Amino acid sequence: MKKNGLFWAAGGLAVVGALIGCNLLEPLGSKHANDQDYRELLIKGNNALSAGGVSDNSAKQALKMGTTADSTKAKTYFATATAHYDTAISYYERAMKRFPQGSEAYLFHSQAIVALYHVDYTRINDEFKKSDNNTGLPFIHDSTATSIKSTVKSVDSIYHPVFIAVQDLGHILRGRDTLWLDIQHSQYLTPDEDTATKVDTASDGRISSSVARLDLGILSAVQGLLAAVDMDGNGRIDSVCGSGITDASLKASLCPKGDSSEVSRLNDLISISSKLSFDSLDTKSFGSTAKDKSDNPNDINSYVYSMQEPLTSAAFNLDSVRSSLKSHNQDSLAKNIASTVTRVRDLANFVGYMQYNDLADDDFDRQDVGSPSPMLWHDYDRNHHIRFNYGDPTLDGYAKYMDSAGYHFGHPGDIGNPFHRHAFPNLYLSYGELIKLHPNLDTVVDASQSGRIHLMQKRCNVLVDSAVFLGGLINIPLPADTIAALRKTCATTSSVLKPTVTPPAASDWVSGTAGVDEELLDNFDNDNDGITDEDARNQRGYDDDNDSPIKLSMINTVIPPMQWRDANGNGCIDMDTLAHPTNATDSLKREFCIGTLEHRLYLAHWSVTTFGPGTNRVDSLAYYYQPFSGESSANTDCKNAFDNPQRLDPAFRAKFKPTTEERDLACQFQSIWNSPVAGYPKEAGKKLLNSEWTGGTFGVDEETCGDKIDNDGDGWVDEDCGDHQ
Amino acid sequence: MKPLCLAAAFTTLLFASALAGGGGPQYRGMMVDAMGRSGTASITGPSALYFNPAGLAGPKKSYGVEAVAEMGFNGVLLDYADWANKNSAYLNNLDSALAHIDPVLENEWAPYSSNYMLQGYFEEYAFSVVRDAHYSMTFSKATLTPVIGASIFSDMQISAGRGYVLPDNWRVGIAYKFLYRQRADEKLYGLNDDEYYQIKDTWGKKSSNALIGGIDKITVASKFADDQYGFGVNLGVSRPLPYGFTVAASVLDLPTVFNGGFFVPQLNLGGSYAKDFGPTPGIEALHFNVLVNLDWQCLLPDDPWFKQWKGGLAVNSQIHNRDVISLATGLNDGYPTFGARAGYFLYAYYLYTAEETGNYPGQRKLNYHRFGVDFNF
Repeated sequence: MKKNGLFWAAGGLAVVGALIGCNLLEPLGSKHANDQDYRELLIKGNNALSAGGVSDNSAKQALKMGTTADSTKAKTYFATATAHYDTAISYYERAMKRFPQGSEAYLFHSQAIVALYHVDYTRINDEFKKSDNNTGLPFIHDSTATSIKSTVKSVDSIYHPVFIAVQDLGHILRGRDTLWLDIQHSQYLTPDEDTATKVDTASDGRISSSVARLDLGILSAVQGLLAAVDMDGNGRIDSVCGSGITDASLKASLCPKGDSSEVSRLNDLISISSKLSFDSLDTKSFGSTAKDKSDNPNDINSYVYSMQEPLTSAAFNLDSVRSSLKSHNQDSLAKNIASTVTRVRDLANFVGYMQYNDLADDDFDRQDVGSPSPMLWHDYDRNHHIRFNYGDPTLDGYAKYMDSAGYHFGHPGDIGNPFHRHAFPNLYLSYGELIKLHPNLDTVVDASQSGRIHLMQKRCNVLVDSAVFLGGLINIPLPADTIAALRKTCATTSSVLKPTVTPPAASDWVSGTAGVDEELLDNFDNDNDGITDEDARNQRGYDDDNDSPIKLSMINTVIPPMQWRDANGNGCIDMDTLAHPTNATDSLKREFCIGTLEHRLYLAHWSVTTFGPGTNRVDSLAYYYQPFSGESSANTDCKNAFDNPQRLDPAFRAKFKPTTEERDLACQFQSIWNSPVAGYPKEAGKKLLNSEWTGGTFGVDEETCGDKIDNDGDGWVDEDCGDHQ
Repeated sequence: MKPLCLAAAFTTLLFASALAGGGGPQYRGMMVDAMGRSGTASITGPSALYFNPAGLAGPKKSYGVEAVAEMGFNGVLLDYADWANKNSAYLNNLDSALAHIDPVLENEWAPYSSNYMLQGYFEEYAFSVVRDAHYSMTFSKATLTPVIGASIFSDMQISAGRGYVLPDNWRVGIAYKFLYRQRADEKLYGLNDDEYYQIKDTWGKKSSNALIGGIDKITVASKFADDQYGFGVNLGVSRPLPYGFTVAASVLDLPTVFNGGFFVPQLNLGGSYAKDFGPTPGIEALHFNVLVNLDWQCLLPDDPWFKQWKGGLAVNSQIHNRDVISLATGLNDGYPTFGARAGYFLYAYYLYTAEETGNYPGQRKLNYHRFGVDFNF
């Protein structure tokens, strides 16, 4: 019985096992059928993709022939290719749904979408190469002799496929865990999960994540350049912003200029970037144009954030590829992509430096202290730089090499100035120490013109050049050994203060941590670190845009913030509410608003009509306003503002018809109020101090926070705001 | 009751492990492949070790030795070879390499196979050493930039076994095998992968011998493949029927312990019909015979039932009981196969085989043109 039982049991199990092994007990639609269908879809997609490539090649061959008939043929081929690519995309999308873990579907989908829009490595690389020694950003062109102005359609034809491809490749790269893109863990890719199946998408291992890295790096860089224009975040640059958004308030917040928001943003970006040199990033040119387009410094961060994630992702992936190439001694390949890698990484870093008023060190130049806080400083000597110690005369003898003959480069005792770095090396970190402090800075150190260390060195050498130049100009040449010593300092010593350094008793530096939100929005490189207006601040009780007539005599005194009351609610600071009342809705009355270009034009007009054309009398202008430092003619940015309808109401220009002479007179002066009083002293018999400015220091916290109005007429809104009521 | 539980536990363990272990070696012999991978009931000689060890039993010469060398490729590999010949200089330059990528080759894998075998038998005992290797490679784009891929699936089997003739002409056989497998699945590699550089360096190497250099390039995946080991058993039974018919069944890899798990056992059920037309008039030593196979093979539990059918037809001529010319054809899951073999003691053969990928025949052809030499004594 026992023997029989064993026999039947073994036999039964063998049959069951065989049946299970042979799949007979499973229905045809088994769990594995999805994978089978998926592969079928891939094969069909690949066939279509390949057919599209063949048609494209035929079209290109036909175009080379050059005849009209061939051109017609090419169009037909291109249309055929488009149909094939659309088919391929459709198959891949079905495959992605059928088997979300399948990485090939995502990769092939990205291939098909870029093929459909004729985006390829050569095209992207050419765009980056075009930026060599030229101004302007890749893919964003102004109308020039060699380029056609970018349009919504042309930019979308790059941005959309890149956006989709980045998403596809991101699925391959992302896993079940958060992928941190930087050491500070400020940027990351979220864990990946298919919403329907709750599985990690593109995770079947058929495509190595390394396959995605280089392309994701390059494509993310392109996305980063253009992402600021995709205001509604739908992956397209649209002529109608937010077209798919039904929530009116959400749409309004995403598309502040209505349907045309993205068109407007694109045009702004074209204009802003037209002056930017991509291979030598320079915020001075960028910032001044940006000010014409976006007058709210709080916009800086939204620009930065929209660009930063893709650019950081680009830098992360490209850096990993570069490291790999280096470790494998692949000099040829490394060289091949080095310039693109460098540019993208520079831009990613550079954009990061620009973050505004975030209480953090965004440009790797802060002191390494336990509890960093924003660097608070007043520009007592009004030279736009941070004097370290007014009480130390050591370097005063070199002042002539920085400020002579109408040229102003600061003072040798300014923080970061090469004379100061050389004379007080114990105050500064060497580059080696700086890299040790910020390990990820190491990845930024290279031969590129926009690497962080290089920018510091460059600024230092520019100042040495300036000293040499001024020495020649005043016939007291800087000794050769001093020049050599300064150059050596530039090569070895950073502009970053050591952690132990504290503000001397008489210093521009009042408190806080040097290097945290240290810059003012004044178009100057305040800390001599090679970047202008980066990592800027908006702190109560301080002049954050360097437009206050602060004086040396105020050292170690409390500088009271500006007090003013906007009695008529028009957002401008009326200089005389009785004699010249302004009107909230009438821009024509802004000629009597303190700091405005309209007021300076009014004064210039008064001068020309009073003293006659060509006399160049600037009496009233000079009484009220500070001239542009070191400029004897009209300031270019001011002239741009004059031509910018967003800065100067066309109705004002139409009514007052300022002449070129009046414009140039007005534009010799900044919006910085110089007069000790607000009223109108020349109009005898009138009450002098019936201004809306009622007290405190003009230019310190002068803006009303959040009203998005340029209260002081300097072109920025909300840039130096505080409680001044 | 206790043995029942033990048996149940063993079977459960076996199949549970098997699901993770994958399938066993696919080598079956040249004629099997030519006949659509069929032959459960007809295979004889040492190759029966791999398909149905019952084929070791029964009448044949008392001893024999066979050595085979074979290589296989297809049109994609030739396209790649042609492309590489023209464009190898561009591999170190992204721009140039991309400009020269042929869209027809995009996402296409070029396969290559090689097969070396030494085997023999003495009466009902047989041994065999086989290396059956399949490679593939690709040069393609990720989205923008070049990526490369290479794979290997190579089985080295050392097998020995014997057949038994039981009463009433039932034949059974058993084969024991040791298996060494190199495996790197089809996968694309990018610049951060060590494999990328191993492939690239190999592809970039100059070789004085074009054929050896070419093979070295194609087989590069062996440099980074995983090494896996195992051993196992194949079992088989067959029963000749009247009028030349034979029926048989074999279970392969029951069990085969491999790489920490078990292979999925494979069940083969087959029938065959063989007819010897006798001496040819005028040439008494010359015989012609035909062989027809029909198999149902369960390769993997994943495969749907309609993929399991294999069939084949062979026409063979012999002089003094030794093969001279053999022609064979078959259908492997709906794909045609073909083989021709000619010689005397030393043979040359051509084999066309095809497999499918996907649910239905005709979706993706993984086909090979295989050329081999075979010394058979």
